[in-house]
Amino acid sequence: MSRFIAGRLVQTAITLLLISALVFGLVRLTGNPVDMMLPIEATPEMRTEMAHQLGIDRPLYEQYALFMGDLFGGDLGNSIRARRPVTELMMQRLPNSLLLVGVSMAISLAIAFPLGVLAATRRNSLWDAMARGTALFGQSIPTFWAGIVLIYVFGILLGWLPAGGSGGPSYVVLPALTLGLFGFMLAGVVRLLRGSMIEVLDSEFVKFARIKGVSERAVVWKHALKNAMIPVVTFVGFYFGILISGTVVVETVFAWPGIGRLAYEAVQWRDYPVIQGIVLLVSTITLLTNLAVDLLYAWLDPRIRYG
Amino acid sequence: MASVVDGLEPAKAADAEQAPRVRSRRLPVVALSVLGAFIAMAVLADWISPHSPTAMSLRERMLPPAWLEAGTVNHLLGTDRIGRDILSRIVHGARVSLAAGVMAVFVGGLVGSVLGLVSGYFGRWVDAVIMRLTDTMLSLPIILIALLFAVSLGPSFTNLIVVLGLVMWARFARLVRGEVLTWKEREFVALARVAGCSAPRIMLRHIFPNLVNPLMVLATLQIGWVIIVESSLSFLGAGIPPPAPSWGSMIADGRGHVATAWWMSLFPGLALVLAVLSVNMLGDWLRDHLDPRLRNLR
Repeated sequence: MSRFIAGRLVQTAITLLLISALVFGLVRLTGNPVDMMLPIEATPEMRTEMAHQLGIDRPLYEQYALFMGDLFGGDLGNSIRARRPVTELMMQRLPNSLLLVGVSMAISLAIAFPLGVLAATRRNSLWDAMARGTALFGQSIPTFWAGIVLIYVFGILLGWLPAGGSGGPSYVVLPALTLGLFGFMLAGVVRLLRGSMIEVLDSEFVKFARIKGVSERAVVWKHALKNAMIPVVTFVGFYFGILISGTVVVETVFAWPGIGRLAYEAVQWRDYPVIQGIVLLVSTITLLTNLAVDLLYAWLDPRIRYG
Repeated sequence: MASVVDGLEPAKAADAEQAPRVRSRRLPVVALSVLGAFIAMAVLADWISPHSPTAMSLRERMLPPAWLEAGTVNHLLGTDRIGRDILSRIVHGARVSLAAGVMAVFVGGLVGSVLGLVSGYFGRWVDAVIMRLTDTMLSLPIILIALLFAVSLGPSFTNLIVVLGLVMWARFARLVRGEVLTWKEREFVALARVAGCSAPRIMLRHIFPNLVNPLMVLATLQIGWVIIVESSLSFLGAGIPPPAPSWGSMIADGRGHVATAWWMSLFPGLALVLAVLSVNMLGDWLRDHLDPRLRNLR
């Protein structure tokens, strides 16, 4: 057990290190922030001065060593544009994104669970057709277009909900619906749950429960669903990452002040430290979620360690 | 190893014995015809589009579609902010979307397959290194990375393909590696080794042909996904540079005018959805048909 945990911890650490190197290398390809910040008529001296101030005139390995040193100290540097610590900027926006992702996840799961189970228990019924339709449409409609259509219908035609921005609870409805319905999670969970439910319902222990005289309702919703959820929960970290990644598009469409829009703005301004910080933060959250899920399983089900 | 992305590998062998779904056996005729229409549109764009996709006409700005009051038959689906014909731009945009989808999947599939073969066949540290890279790629926020790549390499069609291929190879690598692990234990592989076949020969001639079906399924399903990512990048301003027509950038153009000119975003979006939907339906059918074990794929 402890060997397994140690192994997973080392793996996660290596992956994080790789991500940091990749991100560090990539953002330095994106062009020079000096050109973005200074007016065209700036003299070469002003440019050198600015580059020196930002520390981007030093050799790459030196920049990376500094970057990693700061990283371990919890310092992600300062935003080149806002001239404030990256961590501060991110922490300001992160709650908004987590709220959006949380509500979206709730919407996805609230639809996916009943639909997936009903589709598996009544195969080739109307429910099954709906489940397959949901899975198909959920991964075929891009969020940005769905968002615009929802804005047009509910924001402009009907005028029920605000079309964008932030404020009271009503502002979160449209972006969360967009991400919850078309952010790949609903489609993925319905598909996975339907498949694994079908498999579990055919298994020996379900037959045994039926023979024992357990009511059909309890067989489906208690015995079978509990086991069918295993592959679904394994993917929660994966979907979480996809949803967070999807916030870049959805937050841009709805002018939602979260981390996704921060990332979009940072790319527009070549704001290295901010992009670095966001990619690192999002990857770390995803990796840690995966790690937690794996460890939880190893603890619950010893067979997984040898699998 | 119980990693979260394990679901991307083929499901357990037991699934294969499950009775195939009868309904999905039918050839998806509708999807195939829609796809055929889009391919025809892309190939014949220069001949069938009523106007040039970039011709502006400031006097005919934001004309509504023909069936609305102010619309004209000359511009069936209306015009955009600077008077370009929407239908013509959609027809030409099919080229960008389909070509980007197919080419990016080809690039990503090629790189991913080679890495997956090597990783699965040689095992040990080679496998460890490649799989760590794969995990890294799969845990990255894809749109963000694609955005970073696109901005750093500069907007152009070639760069777009490179970017999309780069974010996609990991899924192929994972699938191929998993398959190789099961095939390389088979007797015919051991026999080939005894007979003195070289490692590349065993990988390409003896193992790879068995992977064609799952690869076809994954590739088809990925094309739909790539088309969406490509249009998202164009929507965010990091895809095909203007004035070339791309569905994503057309939708972005219309975003600020939803209240007054909804057709600017609606029609390119419908084209996008139809194209992706039919590719995905074809992919689902291929999966059920060629390789039912991949039920949970994606």
